[in-house]
Order: sequence, then C-alpha cells, then structure tokens
Amino acid sequence: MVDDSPSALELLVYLLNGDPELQVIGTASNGEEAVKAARRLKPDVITMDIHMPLVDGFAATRSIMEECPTRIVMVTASVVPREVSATFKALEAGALTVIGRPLGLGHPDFDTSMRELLQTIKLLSEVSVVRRWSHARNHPPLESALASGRQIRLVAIGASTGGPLVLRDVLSQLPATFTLPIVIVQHIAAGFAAGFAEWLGQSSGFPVRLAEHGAPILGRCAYLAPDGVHMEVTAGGQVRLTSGPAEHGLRPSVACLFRSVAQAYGGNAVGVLLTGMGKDGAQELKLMRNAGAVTIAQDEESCVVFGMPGEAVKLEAAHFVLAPDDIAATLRRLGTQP
Amino acid sequence: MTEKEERFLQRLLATFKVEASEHLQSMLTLLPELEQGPDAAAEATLIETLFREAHSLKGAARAVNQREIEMVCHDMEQLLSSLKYGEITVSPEIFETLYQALDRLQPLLVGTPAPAAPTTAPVATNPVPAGVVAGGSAVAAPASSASGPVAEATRAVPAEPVASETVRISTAKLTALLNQAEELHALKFGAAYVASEIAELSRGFAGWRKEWGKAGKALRGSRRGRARDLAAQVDGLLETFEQGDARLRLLDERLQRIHRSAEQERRSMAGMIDGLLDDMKQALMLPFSSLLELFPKLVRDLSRDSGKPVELVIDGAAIEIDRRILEQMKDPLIHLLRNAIDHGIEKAEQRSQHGKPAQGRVSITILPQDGNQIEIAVADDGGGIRHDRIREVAARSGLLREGEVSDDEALQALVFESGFSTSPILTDISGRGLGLAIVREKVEKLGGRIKVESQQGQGTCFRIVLPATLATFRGVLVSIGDRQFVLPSVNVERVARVARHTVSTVENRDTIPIDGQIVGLVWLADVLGLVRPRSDDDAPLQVVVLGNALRRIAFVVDAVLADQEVLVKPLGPQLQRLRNIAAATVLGAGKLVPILNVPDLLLSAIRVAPAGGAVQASAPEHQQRSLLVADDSVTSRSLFKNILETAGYRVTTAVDGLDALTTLRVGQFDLVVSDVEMPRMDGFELATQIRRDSKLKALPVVLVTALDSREDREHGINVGADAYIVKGSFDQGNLLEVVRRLL
Repeated sequence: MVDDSPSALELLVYLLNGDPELQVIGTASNGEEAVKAARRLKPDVITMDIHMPLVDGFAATRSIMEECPTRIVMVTASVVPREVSATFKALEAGALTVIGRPLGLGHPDFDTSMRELLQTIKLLSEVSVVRRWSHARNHPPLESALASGRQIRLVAIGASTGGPLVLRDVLSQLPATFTLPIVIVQHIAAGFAAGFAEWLGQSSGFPVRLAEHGAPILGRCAYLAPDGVHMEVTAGGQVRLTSGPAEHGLRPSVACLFRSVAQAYGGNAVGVLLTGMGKDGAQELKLMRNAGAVTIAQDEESCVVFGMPGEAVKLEAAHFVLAPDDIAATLRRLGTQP
Repeated sequence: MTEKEERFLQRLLATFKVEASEHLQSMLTLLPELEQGPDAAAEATLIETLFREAHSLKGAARAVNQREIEMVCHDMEQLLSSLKYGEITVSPEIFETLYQALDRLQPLLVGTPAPAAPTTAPVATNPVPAGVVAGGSAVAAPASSASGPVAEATRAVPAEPVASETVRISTAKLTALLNQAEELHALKFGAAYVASEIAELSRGFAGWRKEWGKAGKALRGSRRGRARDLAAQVDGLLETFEQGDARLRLLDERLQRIHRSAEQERRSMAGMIDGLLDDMKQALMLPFSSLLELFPKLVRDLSRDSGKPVELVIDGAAIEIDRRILEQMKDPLIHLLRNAIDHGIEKAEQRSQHGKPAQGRVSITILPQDGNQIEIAVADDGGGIRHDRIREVAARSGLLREGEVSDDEALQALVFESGFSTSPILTDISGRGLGLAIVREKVEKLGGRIKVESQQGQGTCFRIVLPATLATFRGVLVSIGDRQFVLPSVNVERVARVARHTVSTVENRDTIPIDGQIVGLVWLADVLGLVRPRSDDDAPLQVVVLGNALRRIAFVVDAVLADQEVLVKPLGPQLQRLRNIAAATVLGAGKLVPILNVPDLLLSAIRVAPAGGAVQASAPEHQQRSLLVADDSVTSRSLFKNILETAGYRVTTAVDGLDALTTLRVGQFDLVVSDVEMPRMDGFELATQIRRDSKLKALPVVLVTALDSREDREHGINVGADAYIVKGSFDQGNLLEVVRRLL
C-alpha cells in the first residue's frame, strides 16, 4: 500500500488485513519507497496514491512497470476533474484501474465502499499484469459481413474494469473522417466521471463530452454517462438522463443504455461490449442484435476481466468477438463517410 | 461499529491528530512564503506542495470520517488545483480565502475527539524549577492570548507544549541509543562476575569459620584435658594456624581482585551511564524550526491587524535545543514578536519620513555560542526604545528617583520590571508592562539571561542566551532552626557572614554593605512567616544574597549547609500556586525539603515589616474606592457591578454617557468603567467630556467594548481613555487587574 498520509494508510492496512484472503506485506509513504518495496517484496497488487512528496504515484507507476511489472490500483480521494484526469494518466503508465478512497469508519456508506475496494483488489490480483493488444489477432470482419444495406447512425459502448484504456485505444484510432456519434457507459467510482471524460478526450484526441440531459446527439462526439444516473437515447436523437433503480447494482448501467438504443435506433446502431466484471449489458446486447444492430464483444485475450463480454458471447449476443484494434478498424469502416 | 473497530478508530484518531497537525503546520509555513511573491519556479513548487498537503489532509480526514475537515480541505484543494493549472493567478483575495480555510481548520483539528488514553501533560516530567512547573508565576502565560495573562492564570491551564505529545527522532539517533543500551549488557556480565566472586569468597569464609571453630574446640579441650599429647596437640593447632594463614592470604588476594574488578565496573558504568544520559538529552533536542514555523502566520496576522507591513526573517532554524526549553520559549518569543510589531515597528508613513523602507523588518536569529549555549536574537528595525520615555515613566512609578542619573544600559534594563509600560494605553494584548517581566522570568528560570540593545530610531534587539540542554538543577541548602530549604543556585549571588554592627537602618529598613553596595536585609524566617530562632547577639549573621536583574536582597539564615544537585519534584496539580514555594526535593534519608521561589521571596521581602519588627499583617487589599459603571445593557451593568463589588469597590451605575457625566459631576469617583456603544452619549464622547472637565480630567477611564479594531483602539487613545478592554475576551480577572493598576 502506498500513501503519504499515515492515517489513510493505517485505515487501508486495517481493512485489507481484515479480509482473510488478503495480506498487506508492506507499506510505503512516497513513490521512491514504493519502487524499492515493489522490487523487494514482489506483491500481487499495489495500491497507489497519486499525490506524494519526492516521487509521485504517476512516476512510481511508470518505474515499477518498467522494472518489475506489478498490478497497480490507483487510489485517490480527489474528485477535482483536473486531478482525476491526471490520475487516469497513470493508466497509460500501466496501472490497471482507478478507484476512490474508501470512506472512513463510521461513515454510513463505509461498508459498501469497503466491499468495493476489497472486491476490486481481489479481482485484479488474478488478471495478467502485462496486456498487449497492439497486434490484431482476429481479422476484422469482411466488408461483406457488414454490408447489409443498413445505415449506421449511432455507436453505443459499454465498459467496466479495464475499460478506460481500451476506450482510449479505440477512440484514438478513429480518424477525422469518422462522423458517427458515440454514447458510452463506463462504470467508474462516484465523482470521477468528469475527470475521466477530460482524460479520455485529451489522451485519445477524440472529442469526449459528459452527457447532459436533453442535449442533442451530434456527430463525431463521444457522450460519456455521468455518475449516479442512467443514460438513455431517444428516437429524436437526444440524451435522456434518468434516475431509475440501479441495474446489476449499477447506475449508470450498460443495460439501460443498450435497451434504449435497441428501441430508438433498431438496426441503425452498433453495440460494443468491452472488458469488465459482471454481466451488465450482455442481455441487452442480444436485444440490439435481435433488433438488427451490429454487435461486437471484446475478445478474451485482450480483456482485463472477460465477464461482461464473456456473458455476451455465451448468449450469442455478438456478431463479432474482436481485439481493440479490430474493434477500431470495424468502427472506422462502418462510420467513415466514403 | 464493533468493539474492535471502535478500538481501531481510537488508534487511528491518534495517528490522525499527529498527521493533521503536521499538514496544517506545513501549510501555515508555506502560505506566507507564497505570499512573499517568490520567483515563478519557486511559486510553482510552493503551490504544488500546498496542494499536496491539502490533499493529504483531506484523505486523512476521510479515513477518520471527519467530514467537515474533509470539506474545508476539498475547497482548498480545488482552489490550489486551479492555481496549479494556471486557471487563476494568486491574488490577495485568494490568500484571504486560503487563510480563512486554515483558520477554520485549526479549531476543527483541536476539536478532534481525543484518543482513548488521555495524554499526560508533559509538564509533569519537567525538571524546570521554580514556578514554571508549579505555576510559580501566577502569570505564566504572557500576553500571548487575547484574554491576557491574568485570565490565563486564573484558569490555570497547563502550558501547551509546542509540538504534540509525540516527538520525531531520527533513526540515527535511536540507533546510537540502542547501541549504548546494548553495551549495558557488559555491565550485567560484569556485575554477575563480581557477584559470583563474592559468593565464592563468602563460601571460603564459611569453610574457614568451620575450621576455626573446630580448632577453638580442640584448644579448649586440650586446656581441660591432661597434657599428655601436648606436643601432638600443639602440632595440630599449629597446622590449623598455618592453614588459616594460607586461607587468609588467599582470601585477601581474592578480595583485592574483586575490589579491582568492582572499581573497573564502576568506572565503565559511570562512563556508559553518562554517555547514555547525554545521548538521551540529544534525542530530546529539537530544531528551532519546530517552534519558529508557527511565526510566519502570526507575523502576518499581527501585521494585518496593526496595519503595518512587516517582513519576518528567520535565520538558524536548524539549530537544535532541548525540547523542554523550546516549549518554554514559545510564549516569550511570541510576546517579543508582538512587542516588536505593536510597539517597535513604526507606521509606514512614519517610516518613510525617516527614510526607512515602508515594510518593517523583524528578524529571529539563532546562533550557537560557546559552552553549550544558544543565543536567540529578536530584532526589529523600528523606532527603538525611547530613553526619555523610560526615564519619565520610571520616575513617575518610583523606580528611579528624581534626578538620579542612570546609564543607558541600566535604563533599558528597567523595561523588564513588572508593571513597567511606556504605552499610553492599556489594551488586552499589550501595554500592561507585564509581558517583558514574564519573558525575563521564564528565561531566568531556564537558566538563561536576557538583555536588550536599542538604538533610538534604529531598532531594538532582544538577546536571549539559553543553555542548549537543561542543566541539572543545583540548589543551596540552608536551614532555619531545624527546618531546611533549598534556594536555586542560579539566583544565589553569594553567601556571606556579616558582623551585626555593619547593619544600618536606611529609610526604616535594615541594610548591609555587600561589595560596596547597600543591600536590603531581611530574615528569611520573617518572609516565610516562621519564628526567628534565638541567636547569640554577638554572632555574625549568615546571609544569602538573592537577586535577579534589578533587585538584590540579603536573607538571613541560620546556616548554609551545602551546594548540591537536587532532583526537582513538582508540587502536583493540587497545588497550582503556592507563595514562596516552587517545588520540593527529596534529600538523602527521604527528607522532604521545599525549594523556594526566589522572585516571590524578593517580592515578599519588600512587604515584610522593616527594621527588626515582627511580621505585620499585610495592608488591607484596597481602601474602598468608588467606581462608576456606565452601560446601557442591564445584563452587562449588573455583571460589572457584581464583579467590582465582590472585589471590594463601591459601585454606582449609569445607563448611558450622559447619565454618567451628570453622576460624575455631582459625586466623588475614583474611576469610570464605560461601555462604548450607548444611546445619547457614547463612551468615546464621555471620555472626551471627562478630559475637558477641569474637575474630572484626571479621572481614569476604562472603555469596555465589543469593537476590536485598531481604529477604535486608536480612537480610544485619542479621546484620552486609560484602558481599552474588548468584551469578546472579557474576563473578570482582566477587568480587575486593569482597574487595580489604574487606581
């Protein structure tokens, strides 16, 4: 555990050691100590604070990934969009995910936040450290498979754990001639959505906006669902933010988005389900496929967690099961004006 | 929450307290630095560091569920983030917001629930003698808080330590200590060896005694029996004797050896213990920075409140000093800084008239000196001490006789006298003339000394020289009859025997010549309220001359017994304050002996009846004086009336300024206490009218107000008020003390 606040560190250690499946084998209070400790102790997972004296979490992550690749979870309490965006940069350096700092003992939502933290750490302790998908493995679907005379008007993407980097990779490969609008639900800790949107836009070069209720959906722009509400699309091409009950324990949920896309856009849409734990959106991707939409699931090899796409594959909801580069190539072909 | 979680939370809160105060302190230091306007690179680093501190404190507060702290930090974080990314630039408004946030954090952090185990007040282990511990000075805290010194004393708040209850010690120091402690093993082995040798020796002795007993029996037997085998018996005894002789030599050798090793043991033990003690003292050393980092914010606040731009320069903050001394120096240093800004530094306009830069400069310089001493110099570039003012005030208050010539140094030393103030007005924070007296008292109790250097128009510099480590306390043991007392050696100037015929009476007081100076003479027994033991009329008097910077008095005792190291035991919380007695010590054989409080003795000596008389009852507190209280609020009016009547004054009330003025003109009053805001005629106007009235113009006027602003205080001075008390810090001790001083 790496954190420059002794109090925060003590709480994290207490929480993790309280779980029989986890054991804290070392702590560090700045990036420099963290790199040394990672080299010496070879932990399964490192939790990393971003703002620390001497060497910050970002630089430490980069050093650790170069010297002794380890699963790193960024832990931050900041919800200032600029700072969240800076934290997401650590993902580019090799960190797996960003989570919010657990709430303090005695806080009403303490139990929930603690469970979330422990679950994420346990889950990530099993994923492979180094993920490379720069080489296309499955060939992108042939032109003929796509050409069925329908006109694509919208791309809907759902993602969870491991999603941010895949989203960045996919969006960054869409050329200026790509004119379709994109709607995205990415599961993310409360308060992080704005910062994430900022980071995603900056790092991919594709315009990303936090969705607003009633806003018209315009071409060549990605709309990211804000946290705490469901995002839907209407037949009139508008975003609708609703506060319906959480689905699969999640709000925003991919399920809600995909359902509305299937209803409003029918066969004129593309559905993409990316890496993530759980089943959110798998059933609804099937719904989209049945409505005539093009559906894609991320392939197992490139997934941090092959949960949601795996479920989609099981339900035969996806036309194609692809690596991120191939997903990008497919979207390019479908969305670029000739 | 489960019991286990509860316990953990308590522990976590303890961690949080320490961590939070570090973050806060760091921000309090960095923010004024940023405000000074450093170059761009330094500015970026400062903003980044401030941001990180706020962020970390927020994270820590979240961990212990302190949501209000978390929110304040969150706002700071957001603001600093915007600064960091250049979305906004630094401006006075932003600094104000940030300072306000810090001001909000301070009470919140203090209010953090205390950890389960209450921390014991560190003063209990403090071997500082005389009053610092036992509250020997009833006015232990100088005007560091707005409520004033007397208020502090009545509340008897234990001195707040500078740092928290925890100390950071470098691992290097700890390792050195551990190494030394490990060496103590050798002593254990050495002691075991000596013990086993002695056991062997004692076994040898036991054997010898048995043989000896046998030989004795044989000898007695042969005496009774016939001398048949005399030769054989003599041979046998001779053999025993020779064996005994051999044993004796052996045992003697062995004893010699044990003696040698015990001596060796003792020497190495002394070396190790002294070394360990030294290193332990080293471990208790803290850099001055741990105290000085409080000051940039303080100076900034004072500078803002007084409307004088002031820059603080600190030098030598890395020099280390005993933590206990540092803790005791907090209040004196704050007082000197306050003094420098309130009285030393002139207003900007005045400064530019004298060709000085508009911004005043206050510096704190720490310099190591020879002989394990450290000098702290607190200097300002203000107007300096005005000798004419000192002379005037000293003459008025009788410290200096009319026409008495005094050199500059002696004049300047007067500023340390209790009750000496050249300030034209009393306020809650300064002008009472108590502060510097307390500063000197504290410094002297720590075994240090203070002096002031001042060039009129150039500035003032207070130099404090302190020991770097707290010296072991030495005392002079004296006796009166069969009672013994310890006088702190620092205060004992000399001991002497004087012939009775050298005692002469000057101004109704006994005096003796000591080193060519006339020194007052009192019997210690009289001062302590004991019966003077009968003594031979011709025997010379045994005197102990006690003194501080200004006063020297010779105390007659029966005998001076010793000058020795003593272990100071504080009197404990039940006896917050005892006149004349500072603490106690245990001498050999478990005898409990009081350690006397010298400043008290010097004061008591003046009150004691002069010229050989018996002890007199002290003068009545004050003859009944008549006061007028003017206040439009019934509550305040009856509050003042109660307080003042309880203190023995006769009190008349008035409902506003006009009523007061009418009452004053028809009656006889010694002092007026008046509210400022009143209908018909306010306090300022009342004071103005009183000063204009030929009959009333000498009447002391105390203004009590809810307004605490510099302008109002100055307004108060301008209209001729003698004292200005702010209700916010209102405290009866405060009011009574001011009234007493003015009557």
